[in-house]
Amino acid sequence: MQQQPSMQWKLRDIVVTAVLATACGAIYLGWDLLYKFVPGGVSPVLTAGFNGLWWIAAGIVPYIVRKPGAAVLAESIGGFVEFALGSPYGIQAFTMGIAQGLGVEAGFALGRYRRYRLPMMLFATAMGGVGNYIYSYFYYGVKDYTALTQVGYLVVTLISGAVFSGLLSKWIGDALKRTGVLRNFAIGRQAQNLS
Amino acid sequence: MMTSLPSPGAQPGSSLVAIRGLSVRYEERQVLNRVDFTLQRGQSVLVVGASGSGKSTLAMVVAGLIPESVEAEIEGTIDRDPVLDKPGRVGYIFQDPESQFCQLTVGQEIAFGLENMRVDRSQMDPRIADALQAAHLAVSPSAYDLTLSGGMKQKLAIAAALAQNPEVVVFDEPTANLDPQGTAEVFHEIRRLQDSGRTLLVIEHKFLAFVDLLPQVVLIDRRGTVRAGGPTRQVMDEQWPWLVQEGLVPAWWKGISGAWGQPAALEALAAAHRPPEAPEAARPDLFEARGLRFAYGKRKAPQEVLHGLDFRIGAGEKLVIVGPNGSGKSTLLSLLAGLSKPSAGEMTRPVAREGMPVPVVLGFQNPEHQFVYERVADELADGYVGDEMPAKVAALLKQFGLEGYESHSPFSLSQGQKRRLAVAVMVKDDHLAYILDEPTFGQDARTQEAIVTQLEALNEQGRTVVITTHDMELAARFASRVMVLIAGDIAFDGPPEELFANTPLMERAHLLPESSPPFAQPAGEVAPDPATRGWSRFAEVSAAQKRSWMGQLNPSFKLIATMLAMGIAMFAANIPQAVALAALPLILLWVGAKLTPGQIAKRMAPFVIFFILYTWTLTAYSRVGPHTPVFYFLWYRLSWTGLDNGLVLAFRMLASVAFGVLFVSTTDLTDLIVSLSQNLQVSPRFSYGSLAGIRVFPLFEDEWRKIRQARQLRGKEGRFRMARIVTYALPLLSQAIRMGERVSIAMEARGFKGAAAQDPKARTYYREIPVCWGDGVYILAICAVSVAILVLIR
Repeated sequence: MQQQPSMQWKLRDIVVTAVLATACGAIYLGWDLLYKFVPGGVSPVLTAGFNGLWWIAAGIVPYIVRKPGAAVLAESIGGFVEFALGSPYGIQAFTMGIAQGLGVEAGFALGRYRRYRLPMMLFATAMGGVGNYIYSYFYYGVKDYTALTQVGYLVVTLISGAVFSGLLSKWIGDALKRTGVLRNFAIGRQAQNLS
Repeated sequence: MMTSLPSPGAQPGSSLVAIRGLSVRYEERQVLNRVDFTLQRGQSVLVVGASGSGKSTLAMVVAGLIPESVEAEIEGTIDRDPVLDKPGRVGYIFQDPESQFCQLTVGQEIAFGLENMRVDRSQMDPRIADALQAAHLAVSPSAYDLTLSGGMKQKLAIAAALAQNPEVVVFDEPTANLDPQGTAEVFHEIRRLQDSGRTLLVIEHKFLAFVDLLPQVVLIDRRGTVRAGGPTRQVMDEQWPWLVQEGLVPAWWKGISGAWGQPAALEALAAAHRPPEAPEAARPDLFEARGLRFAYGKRKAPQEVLHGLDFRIGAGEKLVIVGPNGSGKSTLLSLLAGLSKPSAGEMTRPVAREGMPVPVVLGFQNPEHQFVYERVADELADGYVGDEMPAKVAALLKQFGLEGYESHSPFSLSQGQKRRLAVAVMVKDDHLAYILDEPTFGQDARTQEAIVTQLEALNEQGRTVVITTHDMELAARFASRVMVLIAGDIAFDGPPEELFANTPLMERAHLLPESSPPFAQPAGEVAPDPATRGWSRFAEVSAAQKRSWMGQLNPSFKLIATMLAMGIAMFAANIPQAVALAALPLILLWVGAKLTPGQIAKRMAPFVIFFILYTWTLTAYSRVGPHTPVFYFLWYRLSWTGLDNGLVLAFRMLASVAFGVLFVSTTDLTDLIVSLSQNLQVSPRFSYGSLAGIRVFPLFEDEWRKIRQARQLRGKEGRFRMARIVTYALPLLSQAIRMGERVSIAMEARGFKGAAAQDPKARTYYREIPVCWGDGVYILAICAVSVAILVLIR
C-alpha cells in the first residue's frame, strides 16, 4: 500500500532532531579544532575538502525525519551548540550553519521532500556547499580570491558536502535503520511502504 | 476482569476507564489481545506480566498516550472519562529516570506541567514547593536534575505528576533502574499515595511488595491476553504455579507469603546454597589490591571514588560486590578489568599472553556497549562471517536461545536477548576471570536464571566470577564471598551469611528494602554523576555575569543584535574599521558583562591560531590588481593587498568571536529557549522540543567513555577503518534516538500537546522573560555604533 508520508512534525521528530543535531554540533567543534592542524593555508582549494562535514546534521536528520525544514532546524541547532561549546568561529558557527542548512533545504525542497534516495542525498548535501560558498564569499574573504581559486573552492566544497554529509549520512542512517530504533520515524515507515 | 457499568459523576467507584475487547498491534507485533479492563475512581490496580506482554501498552492506553502519541493499530472500545483528556489529569511515571525530563532544573521541570495546564505564574512556586514536599524530595527547585540520584529522579517525576493534581497516577516499572534504597523510596511514595485515596495503576517487577497494598490485580500472559484478574492476594495464590512458569517469580520462591529481602530469609537462602564443605584454603591469588585509590578529574579538584582498598581475589572465587549507587562498584570493576589505572596504590592482575584470549573480561551493565558488529552472527564469531555459519557460532546460537536471529542487528533484539548475546560473547572464549556489572539488571526471572546457571557452570570449571548486583537474593544464592562498598571504602568482606546476620550494616549499606527513613537524602554519599561534569560549562552562567547589565538583556533580542552587528561588519573595508568593530564587543565584555581582562583574554585565546590562518590565506591567495607588487615564495604569491585583506578578515572574525563570547557568557540556555516562544512566538513544540533534545547531550560523554572501554577490552580499539567508525557510532546514536523518543512521550504525557504545544499564547510561563525599552536601545545602539564606525573611519 503506497501511503503518502506525513509532512507534519511530531514532537518526537523535533526532539530527535535536536538530539542528533547536538551530537553533530559536538562533532563540528572537534572538526573546528582538527582544522587548526591542517598545514596553515596550503591552499583554500585543498582545505575546502574539509568543509563538507560541517553540515552533516543537514544530511542525517532529513534522511531520518523527512520533514520540510529539517535541514535548517538541524543545522541551526548544530551550529548553535558548536558556537555555545566555544567554537573558534564565534557566532559565525551559528549563522554559517543556517546558511549551509538553507542550501541543503533547497535541495530537498526541489524533490518536494519525497525523495531521499542516494542521488537526492548527494545533490541536496552538495547544495549545502552552495550555501557555504555564498556565505564564505562575503564573510570569509572568498570574494578576494583569484577566479580560479574561487571555482576550485566551490567545486571541492560541493564534492566534500556530497561525500561527508550525503554519503556518510545515508550510510549511518541505513545502519541505524537496521537496528530497529527508527521504526517510528519517516525513514522506517517509508521503507515499509515501498516493500 | 469484570466490567462494571459506567456511572456518571465524580463519586468514588465511578468508572474512569472502561476497555472492552482491546487488541493493540505495533506494525507486525501484536501486544494486547482482546483485553477487558476497568479502572474505577479511587481504586488501585496492580498489573503483572512478563516483559513484552503489553503491560505498558495497557497503561499508555489508560493514559491516552496510545494512539495519540504512540502509533499503534487498535481494535475494541476504549471508554475514557472526558475529564482525563485535559492536560495533567493522568500522571505518568516512566521506567527510565534519565529520559522523562525535558528541562534543566527541578523547579522548571515541575513547572513545565503547570505551564501546560495554564496555571497562573503566581501560583507556580507554592505548587512546586508543595509537590516537592508531597514527594519527599528535599532539594532546591534551582538544583540541576542531572545531579540527582536515580531514586531522587523518580521522586521528581512523582512530584511533577502530583503538582498537576492528577485523577490517576500510572507507575510504569518505576524502580526497574534503581538500587534497593531508591526502590524503597519509590515504594514508600506509592504506599502513601494509595493511603491518600488516589487512583493508581502500578506495573512493577518486584510486585510482591504490593500484594497487600493494591487491592486489585490483572495478570497478562505472553500472548497479551488477560490470564486472571481480581483481588490481589487471592489471584496470586491461585495463579502461583503460572507465575513461576511464566518466569515472573523464580522457581525457588515457595509462595506468596515469603518474607523476601529480609535478613533472616537471605541468611537461610545463603546457607542453603553453601557448598557442603569449606573450599580449600590454598588458592593462588588472581588479583591483589594494596592501598588502591581512584579519583576522577585529576588536575584541579580530584574527586576520589575509592579511598585505599586492600583485598585479594583468589582463583575460583565467586565474589559479589554490593553497596549503594555511587559507592564505587563500577569503578572497582573497571580497575579489575584493567580499563582504568589506579591514581594511587597498586593493583596486581593476571597478565595477558600473546595469542591467548585476554585473561579478564568485563560485561557492562548495558549490553549494547559491548556490541561491535552489525549482525548477531558476526558478534558471536568476532569477525565478519558470510552465509556459511561456523559450527561454533551455530552452537552458541542454540545454547543462548538466539537461533533465527543470526542476521539481525544486535541492537534490535529484546532486552533479554541482548543480555544473553552479551554473555555469549563473553563466554565463547576461555578467560581466567569473568567480571560482570549487574548482569541480571532489568531482566525477567527466566533470563536471570539462564545467566546465573551459565556463571555457575563457568565457576565449576575453576573460573573466577566477580559481579555487582543490587539483588540480595542473587547475592545470597550465588556468592562464595560478598564485599560491601560504602562511599569508596570496604565496609565488609566475607561470607554472605555473616553479612545477612549483620542487620545494622545491611541498613547502612542500603541493602534492606525498608532501610530508608523516607526523608533521608543519600546526597552526601552519592558521587556526582560523571555526566554532570561536562554539563556545567554548557548551561551555567556565573552569577556575576547574570547580574551584569548585558545579562539582564532579553536573550532573543541580544541574539538578533549580535547577528545584525555581524551583518554590518561584513562591510568593513580597511584595517582601522575592522579593529574598531572588534573593539566594540571586547569593551562590552569588560564594561557590560563585568568580565575581567584576564577572563576575556582566556576566553579569546583559542582564536589566535585562526587569526593567523585567515591573515595568511588571503595574503597568499588574494586577487590583485595589474600594477600591484607581488612577491613569490615557494608556490605562494604574496601581496601587501592580500595582507591587508587578510587582516581585515581576521579582525572581523575577532569581532564575531568576541560577540559570541559576549552572548554565551551572559545568556542562560533555558532563558533563550523560553524567550523564543514568549517573545518571538516560536511554536513551543520547536523551542521546548529542542531544549529537551539538547539536554540529552551530557549523557553522550559518559556513554562514549563506556563504549570505548568495551572496545578496548575486545581488542577492537585503535584500528582505523571507516566501517568501524560507523559501527562505533551506532550504540551511541541508537541510544540517543531511543531516549529522544521516550522524552517526547513523557512530555506529551504531561500535557504538552494540542494548543499548549503549538500556540505560544496558549500556555503560561514559569519564567517571565521581559522585553523592555533597553533591549530596543541595545539593538539600535549596536547597529548605530557599527554603522558609525564604517562611515566615520576611512
